[in-house]
Amino acid sequence: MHSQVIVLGGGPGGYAAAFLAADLGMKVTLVEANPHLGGTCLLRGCIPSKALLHVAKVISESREMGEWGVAFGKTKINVDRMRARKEKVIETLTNGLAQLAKQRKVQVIHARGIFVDSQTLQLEGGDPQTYQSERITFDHCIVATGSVPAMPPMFQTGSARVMDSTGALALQDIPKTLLVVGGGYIGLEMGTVYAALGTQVSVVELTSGLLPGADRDLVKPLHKRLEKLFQNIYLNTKVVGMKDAGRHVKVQMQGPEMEEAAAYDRVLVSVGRRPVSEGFGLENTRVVVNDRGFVEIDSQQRTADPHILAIGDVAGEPMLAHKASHEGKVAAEVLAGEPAAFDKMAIPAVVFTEPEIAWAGLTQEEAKLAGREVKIAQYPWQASGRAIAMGKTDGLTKWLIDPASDRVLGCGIVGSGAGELIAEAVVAIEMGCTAIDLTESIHPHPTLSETMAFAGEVYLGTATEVYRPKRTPQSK
Amino acid sequence: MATQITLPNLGENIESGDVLSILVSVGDVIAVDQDLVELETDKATMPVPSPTAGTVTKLLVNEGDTLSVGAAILEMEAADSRAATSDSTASAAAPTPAAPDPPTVATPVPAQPAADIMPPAAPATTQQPAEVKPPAPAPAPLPSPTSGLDPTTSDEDVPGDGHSSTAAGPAVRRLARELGVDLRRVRPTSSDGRITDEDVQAHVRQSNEQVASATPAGVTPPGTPDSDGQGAVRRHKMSRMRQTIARNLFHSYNTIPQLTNFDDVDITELERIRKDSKHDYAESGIKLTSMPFLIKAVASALKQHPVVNASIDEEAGEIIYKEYVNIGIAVDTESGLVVPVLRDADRKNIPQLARDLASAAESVREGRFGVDDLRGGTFTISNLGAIGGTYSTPIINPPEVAILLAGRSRILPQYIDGQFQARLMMPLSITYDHRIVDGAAAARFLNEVKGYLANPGRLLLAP
Repeated sequence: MHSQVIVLGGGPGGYAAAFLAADLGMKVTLVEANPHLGGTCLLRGCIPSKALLHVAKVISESREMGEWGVAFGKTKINVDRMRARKEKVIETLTNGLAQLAKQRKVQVIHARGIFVDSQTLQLEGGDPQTYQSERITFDHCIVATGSVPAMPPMFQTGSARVMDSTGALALQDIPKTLLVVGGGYIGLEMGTVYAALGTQVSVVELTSGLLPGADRDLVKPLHKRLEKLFQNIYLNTKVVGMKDAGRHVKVQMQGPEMEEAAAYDRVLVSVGRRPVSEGFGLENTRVVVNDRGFVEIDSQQRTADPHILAIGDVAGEPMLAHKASHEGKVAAEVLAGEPAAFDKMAIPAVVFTEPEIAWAGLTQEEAKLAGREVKIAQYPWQASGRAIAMGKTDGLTKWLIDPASDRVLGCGIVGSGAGELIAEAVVAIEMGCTAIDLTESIHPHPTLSETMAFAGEVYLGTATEVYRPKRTPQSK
Repeated sequence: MATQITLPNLGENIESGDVLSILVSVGDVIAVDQDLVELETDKATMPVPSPTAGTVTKLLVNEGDTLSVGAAILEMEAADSRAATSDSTASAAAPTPAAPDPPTVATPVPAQPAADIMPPAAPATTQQPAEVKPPAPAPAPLPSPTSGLDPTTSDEDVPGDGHSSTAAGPAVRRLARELGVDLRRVRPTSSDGRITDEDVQAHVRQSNEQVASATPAGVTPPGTPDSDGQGAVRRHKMSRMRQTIARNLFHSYNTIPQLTNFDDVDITELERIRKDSKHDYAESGIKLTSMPFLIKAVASALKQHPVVNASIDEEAGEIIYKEYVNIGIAVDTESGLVVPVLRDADRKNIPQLARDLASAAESVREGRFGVDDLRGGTFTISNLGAIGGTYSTPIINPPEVAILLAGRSRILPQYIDGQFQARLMMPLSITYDHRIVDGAAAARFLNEVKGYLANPGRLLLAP
């Protein structure tokens, strides 16, 4: 068998690359070990977690109705139906992908693909019905093997009670107690889901704050909310021992507030993800893998092997689906001979907790590290009519602005729906908008999107709802 | 308050010109009489000076535009209406795409999701994937995996510094990649520093023009629209000046019955005097050639042969005799033949003529001349001596009625006093308008010129 282009991995990067390559007239084969297309994002990541977070949000909002004089009966949860509904969401999307592949005449092979050399893949396992021979040659291969949850050896207890994000999303039951190891976005999102379903959730984080790397002013409102939602948040705390004690997991921690062992029905280990760059023969090619496990690429997604490109999580951070799909499209265009390049100014990141946190472009922490002078313009949601009407005033919209040119360099938002609002910031940053471009584009009232323009007005000293002495004329 | 600067009256008969180049940009602080644009008219290329001081706020013309007298060139904010801060704002507003970007921010900074950089909550072991290590350097640009692929577009090709100085949206960045344009070299036209697709296209056009003018060998391969059946050709728009030259010569050649007499003049003695004096002139930076002598000889001869210093009014049926003698000197320049006029040449002595000639030639070659410098000639001299050649048939420059061409002087044997002698002979060709200048009149006039040149003593004492 031979294919002009093989895409190895059917996640959001892989299928985007395969579909565009086919649209550009190439003969494309998509090799995916899982019986379903969609990868981590669709099968055990973004999509199922958002389905469950939707449930969590409705539950928590129904409880907030008490303040409005609306009382519902006691929440009754049928976990089997919830799981089935979540699976239905996945099924709808993955079937859609299979359909799209067929329409584009992309051949889908369900097998593990192992590099024999720079132009040959060995096919193993999966569904042998989908391939005629065990070897397939190619002109070019796009490696899109993604990443998997990191599971350090000390957590590899063999216990079913110790889960990674995939296990947590499987929603086997609703445990009475859950310890989330790692205060990153995956841990906080899954913790939010289980807490809403009635689990007593504790979080243990090694560093001094939740969501390390995110700007502290964005994390603060979330931390405040989670303190109420979760039973405990242990910061500066280390897990030093973990063992399955039959009916529960015994976890030994060391930190300022936690010195002894505690028992939890289940433990979610969410300490990061690692790229999948081993075990499938990359060493038989000229591809260079760096010491963090990422395949090295140039701005056109090309590896050191002239026949092989790489995209998505395996090709470097940030490990985000939308980054992967953009890289996939660049790779397909490069193979079509177009001068495409991945040259983005802003890759948005969203944490789908309640409130949500989102940012794009330069962050305050990065600006500080780089010693770069930026002006921060903040608009607190307490001043937003819509936020007050919805009872969602624990929000903040801020811009990082270049004081010399008034151009927006970065944006950070915390608050309900921040993940939707950040899209405007991405366009603004990519387009090189100035603060005035934002403030002089009319935003609909009353919406939370107004806070994007209002934060710009704060920078210019013209915000209606915020009093601030006018900036001196010299600073323009 | 912003005022519009318009194209002033450029002199008689000039109603319009093409903008050859724009010499200022938005934000520039302009002094009175500072040149704003360079304009090419039918007659000459000339700068247009600013009538007022101020700061340029808006350009209203593009290179290549045709401007009529009175048309707006740009908007300017008068210097005195600005506060003392005008200098700082002006410099801040000026786009500075060439400014190097700080290295710390030369690449866009992607946001990182928290989990990817989160240290593990568990005891750190060496296997910890989230352990932060410095990323290895990116691989060097690779040989293209597909044939015909452009070299790697490097990250630096986008305006760096995360958009702090100039900005280009994703669509413009893509266009730049497709056209192979380094965006750092593109100058934004808008005052906010945003690079548009038009800026990129204009940049490509400009570079193409530069390439075309720098390398005449930039021919179009056969088979493209720019080739005829025989092979590659290049098409260039004729400059306004070239079009004017073509039109005038065609008109002259087709409407004037003109013929040419050839002769030689012995300038052995003249050459001796020139050599004796050239060091005196060299001290004041002037290279003394035979031209001032030739001009003086012609000017003096014209006074004695008025019909050669005249023009025709055909409608009135009259000959217009000029009481003044203005000699046009044909000068070879990069953009074509230009004929500056030395006024009242008959009333100037040779040193004056030598100086006037040197400064006129220099002005013309540097493009510093106005239309008035080219007007009012009564006779033209063209000197091929520096380039080579002997005789030619120069074409009359109307409304003049004659033109004299001097070739390169050379040693010829002359039979003098019963023997052959080696003499330096200057070849002369005079074309004249046969409607009013008869062959005999032309010969007599040329004999007069020859007489002066052969006997330089007469030239010094010429009336």
